[in-house]
Amino acid sequence: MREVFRGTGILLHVPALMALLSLPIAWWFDQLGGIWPLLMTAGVAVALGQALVFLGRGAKTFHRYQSMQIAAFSWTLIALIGALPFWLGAQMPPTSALFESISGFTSTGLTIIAAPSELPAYLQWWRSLTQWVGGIGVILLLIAVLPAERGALNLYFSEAREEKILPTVKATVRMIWLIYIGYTVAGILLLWLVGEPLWRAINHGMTAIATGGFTITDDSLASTPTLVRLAYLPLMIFGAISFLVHYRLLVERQTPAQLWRFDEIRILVWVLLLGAALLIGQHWIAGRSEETVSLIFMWVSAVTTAGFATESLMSWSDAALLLLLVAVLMGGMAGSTSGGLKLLRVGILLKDLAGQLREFRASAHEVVMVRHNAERVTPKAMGELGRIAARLVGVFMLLWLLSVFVILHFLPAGTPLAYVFFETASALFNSGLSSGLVGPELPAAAVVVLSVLMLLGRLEIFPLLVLFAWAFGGRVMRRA
Amino acid sequence: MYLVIIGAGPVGNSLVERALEAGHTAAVVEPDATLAQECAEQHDVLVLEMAISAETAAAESHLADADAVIATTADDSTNLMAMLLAQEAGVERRTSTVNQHSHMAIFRRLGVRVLADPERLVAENLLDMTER
Repeated sequence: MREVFRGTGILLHVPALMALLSLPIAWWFDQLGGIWPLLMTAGVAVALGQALVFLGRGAKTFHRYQSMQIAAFSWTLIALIGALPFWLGAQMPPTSALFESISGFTSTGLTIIAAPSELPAYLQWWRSLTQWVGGIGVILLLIAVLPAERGALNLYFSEAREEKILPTVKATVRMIWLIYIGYTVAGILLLWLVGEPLWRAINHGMTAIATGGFTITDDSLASTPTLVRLAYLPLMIFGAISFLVHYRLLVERQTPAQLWRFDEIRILVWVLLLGAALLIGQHWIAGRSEETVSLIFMWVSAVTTAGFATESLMSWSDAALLLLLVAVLMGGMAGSTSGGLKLLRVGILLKDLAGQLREFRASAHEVVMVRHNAERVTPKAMGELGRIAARLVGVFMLLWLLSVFVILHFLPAGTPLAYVFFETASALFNSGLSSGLVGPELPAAAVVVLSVLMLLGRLEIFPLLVLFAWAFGGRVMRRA
Repeated sequence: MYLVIIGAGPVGNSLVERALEAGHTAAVVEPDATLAQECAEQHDVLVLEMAISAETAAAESHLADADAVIATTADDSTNLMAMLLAQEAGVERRTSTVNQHSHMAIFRRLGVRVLADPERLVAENLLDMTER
C-alpha cells in the first residue's frame, strides 16, 4: 500500500501547482476574492499530498495493479481538490462543485453552471485548466498505467517488444508534453486569428485540444460565425488523434503514408467522412434547415468527444440523436485526449469479425489470415485481442444500462428516455454534448450519478474496479 | 498466370515471392502446419495446409484452373504425385525439382520440365566459382 500512497501523494501536487499558476489570473483580472480559494486549494493539496508521501515512505517500485490503484485514487482525490475553488470561490453546492471539477479533469465538458460567462475569470480559467491537464493526464495514464491492450498499442511505439519501450518512456512522455503545449499554443493563435476574443481563444484553445468542451460562453459555440467553427475542427481532430501518432509524425519524422497502415487512423478518417455525410444526409431527408458546417461541426465534436455544440440538441429528432450517440460511443483514438470506447477497439472488433467471416468462407484446409496494421495475423491472434476489447465494451454497456436505470429514479417524471440514454452516455464516454438534462435544475442525486460515470469512463472502469476490489474483497481475502 | 506450388520450404517460399513480384497469383500446398502458417503470414497467397495426395487437394487448390504446377519438395514421390495430378487435371506446364538423379528419366517421360537435384546444382556452381 505504501507505493500507492506515495504515488498518489506525489500526483496531488499537480492541483496545488495548478492553483498557484492560477493566482496571476485572479490578480490580472483584479479579482482578489479569488486569491483565498486558490491558496486554500493549493494548501489542502500540498498538505494531503505530503501526508500521503509521508505514509508511503520506504516504498519500493510498484506493480501494475498498484499503478491502477494510483490512477483511481489520484484522479478521485484530484477531482475532489479541484472542486474547492468552485465551492469556496463561487459558493456552489458541494455536489455541483464536484461535478464541475470531475467534468473538468475527465475532460468531459458537461456543465451545471447556467451562465459560464458570468463566472469570475479565475474560475473560467480554472475550468479550462482542469480540462487541459486532464487531457494530457489521460494520455500519460494510458502510456504509463493501462496496459489492457499493450500488444496493440505497442504498434504505435517502436514495433519493439515491451521491455524495449520502458527505458524510452520518460523521453517519450517529455516529448508528448512538448507536443501538447505546442498544439495548444498553435490552437490559441489560430482561434485568435479567426476572430475569437483573446480570453476566449485562450480558454477554448485549451479545452479544444483536450477535447474537453468547457466554454466561457453561455450557449457553447452556437453563436459563433462559420469561419470560427471551421477553426475548431482541426483542434478537436488533433486532440482525438493518438499522441503516439503525433510523436511518430513530429519526432520520428514518419510520413502520413507510413502511418496510414494503422487500422485505427483509417477508421478515424472514414468515421469522420462517412459519418458526417450520413448526418447531413439524414437531416436533408428529414427536411431540416441546419447549416452543413454546423452539422459537420457537431459530428466532429461527437466523434472526438469534445462536446462543443453549435446546435441545441433539444430540437433534434431521435434518429439524429442516435447517430450522434454512435459517434460518442466510439470516440477517438486510444492514446488521445478523447473518450469513448476508442476506435482501436472498434477496429479490433471489426477485424475479429472479418476473420470469423473469412474462416466461414475458407475451404477446409485453407490457412486464413487477417490484415491488421499491414501485418498478416491469424484469426486466433485477432480473436485474443478481440476478446479483451469485447470484455471492456461489455462492461461499458452494462454500466450504461445500470446508470440509466439508477438515474431514472432521480429525474422528473416524463423525461424523454432518449435524453436519459444520451446524457448518461455523454457522461460515461466523456463527451460533454448535452440534450439539455444537465443544468442548474438537475437533482443532486443525479448529479452524483453522472459524476461517478465520468470518472469510471475516463479511467476505463478497471482501475476503479481494482480499487473497489481492494476496498471490499481484498481485505476479506487477506483475513482468510 | 495462376501457379499452384507444392511445398512451402525455402525453394517454395522464394518461388512464391518471385511469382508475386512478377504479378502472378499463386496457391501453395504444404502439409506442415508451421511452414504453411509462416508462408501465409509472409505472402498474400492462398495457402492450403494439406498433402497434395489428399483427396480434396486438387479441388481446393483449383488445380484444373492452374496455368502451371511447380513441385518444390525434397521428396520425389510427392513431386511425382503432384505431376501426375497436374497431368490428370490437364495442366500444360508442369515443372518439378528432382532430388534423386536416377528419377530424372521417370519425370521426363511424363513430359515434366525438370530441375535436377538442386543441391547438386548449388554445389557445382560453388566449385565452378572457386576454380575460376
